[in-house]
Amino acid sequence: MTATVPAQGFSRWWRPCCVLTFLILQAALLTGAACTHSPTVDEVAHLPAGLSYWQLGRFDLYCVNPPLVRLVAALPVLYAHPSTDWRSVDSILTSRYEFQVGSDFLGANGDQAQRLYFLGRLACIPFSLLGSYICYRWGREVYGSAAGLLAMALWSFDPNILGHGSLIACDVAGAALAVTACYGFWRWLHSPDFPHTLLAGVCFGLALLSKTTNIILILLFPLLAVICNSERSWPQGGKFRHRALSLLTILLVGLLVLNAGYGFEGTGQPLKQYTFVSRCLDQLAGEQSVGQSLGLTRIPMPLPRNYLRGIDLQKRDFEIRDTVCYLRGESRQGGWWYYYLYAFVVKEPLGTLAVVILALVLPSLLSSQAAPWRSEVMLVLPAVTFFLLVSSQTGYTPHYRYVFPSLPFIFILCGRAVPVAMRSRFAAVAVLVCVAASVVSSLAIYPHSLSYFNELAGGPLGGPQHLLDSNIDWGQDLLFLRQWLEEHPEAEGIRVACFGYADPAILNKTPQLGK
Amino acid sequence: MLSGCAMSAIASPSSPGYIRALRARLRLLAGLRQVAQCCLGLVFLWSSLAKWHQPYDFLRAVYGYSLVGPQVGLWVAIMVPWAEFITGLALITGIAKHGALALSTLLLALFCSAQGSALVRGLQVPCGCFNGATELITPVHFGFTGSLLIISAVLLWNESHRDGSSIIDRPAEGAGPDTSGLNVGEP
Repeated sequence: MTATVPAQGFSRWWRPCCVLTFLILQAALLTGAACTHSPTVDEVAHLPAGLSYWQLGRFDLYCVNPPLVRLVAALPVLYAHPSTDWRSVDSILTSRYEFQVGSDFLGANGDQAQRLYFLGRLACIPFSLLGSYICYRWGREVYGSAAGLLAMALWSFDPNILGHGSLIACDVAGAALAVTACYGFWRWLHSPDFPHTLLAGVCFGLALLSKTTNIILILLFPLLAVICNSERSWPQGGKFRHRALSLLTILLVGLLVLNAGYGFEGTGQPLKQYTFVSRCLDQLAGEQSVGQSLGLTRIPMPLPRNYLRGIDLQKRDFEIRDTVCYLRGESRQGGWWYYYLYAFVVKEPLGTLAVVILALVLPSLLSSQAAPWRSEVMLVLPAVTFFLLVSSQTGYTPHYRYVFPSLPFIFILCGRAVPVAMRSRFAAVAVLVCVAASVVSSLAIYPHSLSYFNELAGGPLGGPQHLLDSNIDWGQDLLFLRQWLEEHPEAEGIRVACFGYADPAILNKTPQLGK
Repeated sequence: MLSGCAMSAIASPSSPGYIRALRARLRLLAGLRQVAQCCLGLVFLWSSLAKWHQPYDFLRAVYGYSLVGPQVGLWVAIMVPWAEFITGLALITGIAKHGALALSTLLLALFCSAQGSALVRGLQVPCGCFNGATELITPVHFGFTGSLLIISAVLLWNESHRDGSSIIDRPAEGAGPDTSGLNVGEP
């Protein structure tokens, strides 16, 4: 870790001013996008699911992802007195009936729906801001202030973060809380006192509550604790016990927060009372499984019922391979192991990719170590683990957003180019130009950031040659279509091939439109 | 005589009594500063939440001032509540304090100028402060914003003249003060 010199004079003003300016700009860009887009496919279901948690006290709807984001999004909407229609909650017994409930919700609220979704989106924007701030803080503490600002700029103006951060969705929130949890854990590694233990535990719990992928942190934290202590004199006797107990406390506090988020619904239910639909969990804990023969299925599970059910449903989605995935003009059932790597190359701005390369190359070219290896392991390991975990699920690879939890770690790691660049004017200019190019490229397509593809991939127009689905069109442009129709009254006989559950007739109030 | 001695002992700048009294006074001032900063933060938070409650009313208020065009007005209406929210949060938590004070002074100066200009032009427009479209701008609003501006400017001036190692918050030996305003310390 590099030593942080207390800021003096002018620098103690410009740094916080830059941080606040970045946060305000990011928030404004996200709000601008939030009020111009119609509800996307998943949002249609997310918001009523969140309302159902508050109003019905049940967490069945949209259980494939934990409820934190939906709970937060629904909070301001509750005060706007939405019309709700819960008939489908009990009448339809398919596993993903939240989309039917979402469709009913849109129908029940008609013209008011857009305003309700906007309120829900507003409530989700602080998650992106948190990610931005943690990128700054962690980057600053590892590589210095300029590196922190670089990481913050890459996150704040990343088109994928701008595109998805303005929606009611778990992806950006999950990424932001994953990096917050890892940052909290990093701080705990350096000062394992009670306040840091508690803080790390709460952040860990919130990360678990935001996205299922973050469950990998349960394995990652002990591993990081072992690695980061490997070369030090490992604490002996009482100290070792204290450290181990402290780590256990983090995991337990995390579990407590997770269960509290679900209102302790179904906590302690033994595995034998579950009916698993995925092959993986059925083999582990179903009838005639290994778990049952060992008697493990009678043990009460310290997890909420719908959290486990959600993992089971999600796992089944990845296993059945009945969903068609698309990559580079080829559609097939099942996915590709290199899908996310390819998506990273075409969906991230060229400037960002260049900074990643500079961060890899510059320190070795100038024979300089940017930061102690332990600090970098804390960033590299989560980034790689999230990427590998998602890439290993080759049965279903339709969305680049699944690897968002890796992005903040990559952006912070980009900061390793900065201390080296400070010693060479050419390198400093190169890094600055790359970051500026990344920001300009992203803002050039705003507010259509969700459809961003870099210039090498042919921009948004060239996007369909590479990826489809939420990578380019998620049903977000119905309001733009309405605006276009208003500006072109001569257009007749328009038919809409609409991806999603939002009925164009509801949003556009244009009779000739049909789904 | 005795009380005279005591008085002179207290009055002497090097005497422990004088330093104690000075410390108590400085602590009081620091406390007042904290309270003023928190109050300012709360006003900003309250104002931002009120604007989000009725975003279109605030947009109407921005247009009412007739200072910017429709497109810029829209961005002002989007950005101002977030600027208030983030500044308010930073003032209350003390994160990025220097930036927050600079930003709050700038925001209040802008509000003051806009309100003053509306009053001079005799515009009967909603204030846009807390109650959206219902409350028309009056000299009282201008006075309120002006006093907040003075408080913010005094806090800013005070902060810029602190060297981070005053008599009451001088750090222990070997510990460097975090004067960055971001509360970031090396773990």
